[in-house]
Amino acid sequence: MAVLNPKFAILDETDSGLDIDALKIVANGVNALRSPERAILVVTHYQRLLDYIVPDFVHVLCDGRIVKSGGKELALELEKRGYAWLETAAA
Amino acid sequence: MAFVEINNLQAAVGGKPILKGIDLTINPGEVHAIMGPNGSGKSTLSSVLAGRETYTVTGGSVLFDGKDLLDLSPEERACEGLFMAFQYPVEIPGVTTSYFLMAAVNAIRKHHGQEELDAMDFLKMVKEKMALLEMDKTFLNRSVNE
Repeated sequence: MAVLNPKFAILDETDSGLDIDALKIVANGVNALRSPERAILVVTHYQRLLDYIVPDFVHVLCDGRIVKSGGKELALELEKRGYAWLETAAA
Repeated sequence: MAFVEINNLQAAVGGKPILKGIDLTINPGEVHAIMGPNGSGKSTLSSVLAGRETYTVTGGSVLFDGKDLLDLSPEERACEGLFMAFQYPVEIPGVTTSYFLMAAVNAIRKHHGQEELDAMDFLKMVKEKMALLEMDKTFLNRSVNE
């Protein structure tokens, strides 16, 4: 990503299989590449990665639709409450 | 005009609808996170944006920097500045990371009418980037994703 200098970077569950130290290294790398000219989309299962790569916006996908959007605090709420309350809302 | 504009995007795999109308706008400088339970369509969304052929787009549109993204091949998308880090990257034994990255960089430079980098210039550039990311230089001589 650093070498290719993309305008739009998609990170698809890059955190899967990483231990906490590796997660921090990856997050530091991504943070070093944040730039006013670049858009970044981080796809993740867990809130943990977002402790290190702090997003501007969080969107929750359920059954092929975005059912809720918010700021970084939405990720924390999901960590506490899980996804079920949103799945019921979507159905 | 927004930088990335996804409108009512719908996609299916093997005839089964996975994405059922995604609307999302991303501006330069912004970091957006997509979260969701297993099977919600997270990876499908990434794959459709990158242009993976397993998925069929059944409706909606994606504009990227004023261009119709869905109309471009995966290579063209990459040349226009789209990048994707995979969840399960493919190993390419026998091809070094250095060689692989140089080919990618030069394909993009060529697309923009820029002169291709030679091995010396490329190595200098890549080492600066690795220092930025505090990466060990031995990665360059390893095979891709080994």
